[in-house]
Amino acid sequence: MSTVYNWQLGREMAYPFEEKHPRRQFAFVFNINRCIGCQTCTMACKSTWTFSKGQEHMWWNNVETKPYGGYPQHWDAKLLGMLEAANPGGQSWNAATADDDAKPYGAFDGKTIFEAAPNHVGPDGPQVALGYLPTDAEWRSPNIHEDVAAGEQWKEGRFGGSAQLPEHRVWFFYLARICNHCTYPACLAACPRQAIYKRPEDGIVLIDQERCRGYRKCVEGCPYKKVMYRGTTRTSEKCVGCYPRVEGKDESISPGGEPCETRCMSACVGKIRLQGLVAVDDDGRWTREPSNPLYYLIRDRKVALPLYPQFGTEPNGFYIPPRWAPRGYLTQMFGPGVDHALEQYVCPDRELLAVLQLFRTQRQILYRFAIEQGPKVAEIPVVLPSGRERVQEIFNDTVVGYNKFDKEVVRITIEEPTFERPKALHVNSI
Amino acid sequence: MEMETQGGTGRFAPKVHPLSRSATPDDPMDLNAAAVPGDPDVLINALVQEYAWMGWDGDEIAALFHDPFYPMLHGLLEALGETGVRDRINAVFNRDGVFRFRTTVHEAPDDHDHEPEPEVVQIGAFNLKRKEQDHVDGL
Repeated sequence: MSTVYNWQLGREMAYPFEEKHPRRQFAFVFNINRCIGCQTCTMACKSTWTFSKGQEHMWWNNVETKPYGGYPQHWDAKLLGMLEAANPGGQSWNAATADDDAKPYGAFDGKTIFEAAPNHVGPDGPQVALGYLPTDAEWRSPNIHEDVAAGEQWKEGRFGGSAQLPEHRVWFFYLARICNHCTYPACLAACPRQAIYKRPEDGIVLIDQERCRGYRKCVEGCPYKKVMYRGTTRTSEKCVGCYPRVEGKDESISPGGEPCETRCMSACVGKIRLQGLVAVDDDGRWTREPSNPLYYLIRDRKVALPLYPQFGTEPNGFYIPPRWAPRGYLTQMFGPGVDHALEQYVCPDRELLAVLQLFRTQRQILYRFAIEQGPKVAEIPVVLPSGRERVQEIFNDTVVGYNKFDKEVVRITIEEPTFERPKALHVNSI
Repeated sequence: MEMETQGGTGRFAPKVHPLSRSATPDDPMDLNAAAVPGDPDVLINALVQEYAWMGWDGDEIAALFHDPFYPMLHGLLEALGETGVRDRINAVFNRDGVFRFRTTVHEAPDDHDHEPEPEVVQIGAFNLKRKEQDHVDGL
């Protein structure tokens, strides 16, 4: 085992391979507050990558309903239980040590899946990363009963038939998930044939189908269960980060070689998604780029948080937490940065409000943004989650997004104008 | 051994819809869950604010709750009732004053004089008759 630095945990940790980092890293932010669970992203991915024989159970992108949902079922509850069993009472954070650079969320005092693995001896000996192999039944029925946990009996001809679950007063949220293209991937670490690799140009994690022999150690090791086994080819497959689009090599949408967001991101109707590439230093820290929208949201403002950072893989998917879910549940899921993130999101200042407008305004990846200041248009009293009151000032600023070649590709104002097309004057008026 | 049936006429178990059966907590394949405490008022306030920030008005937001394919809001309608939902929407609008303003841009008419004539494309069936000698499976 080597020692590597995990900035999300605020400390060094054990990992089977030496620390090495890509020049840029595929990363994304999902705003859970806006997700309506329409599954358009799910179908965009399915119809692009996993429509063939043997891939019927594969949903590289899925949207599950928390707290009951999971694909495969109970994936996070199971692994959290295994970690707790491996380190009873010790899976805690020390948020008091937080600093802006090396420890944005403080330090994690518990065990990661790599640190807990050596003591977990299964039939095949110790694991490289603590994990389990989901059963076929757990893969089989994504979304079953997730939204209808009220314990209601099935009624003919009516939506909402459910299993008999205890009723919790209504709160849930939709958690959209794809592969996190982790900095320290557990799938890569667990592969006995080193068939999985992380690309140096964009950090996308891929499986070499020539080398893969279908041992399913990656399926067992990935804590997010985003590697899936395909029976027809006897290999494992996973989200490829739509790499032809990210490379700008899909000629139909990138005639000039402009990197584009993935299919699932581009298809999002709720405008919850923003994807991009962040620059990474040799030591694994993100290069300071305050005008990169992802760097700004994740590192500068800390409004978007990693999913289960305590697993230790340093995932590169980040979420703006839902502000209605119980705080303890959110802290378990996103770490101790939840309070700060929600205070930021509920009452955004003019800069943050402008950057939040960039979600799903452009298919091309935005490398930089700039804000043109406009007049103040409103003042709104806001009660923060902490109970403090603040007045939110709203300015009609304009945010401008630039692509890889520093060409302006989007321009949007806070106050979005409505265009009215006079009926008689346009040939395609309805 | 013959199995009991509802009609008592055959060897087959009665066909029962799986969702009509009672839950059996000791069945490892049955869904089990723990009740998680939460407050529906926090959920509805947050969601109404999200849509209000996007410029939706009260009627537009209320309509969302009636869509069974948006189960989060539909569940709230079932839990709180029509009046409960309306009251809460109005409360959010009254309290926050609602961030909603609109600029309308009247577009210039299309310039028909300089538009090129659209090309007429004839769509028709190709000649699908295949010569027998050219195809091994030619019929």
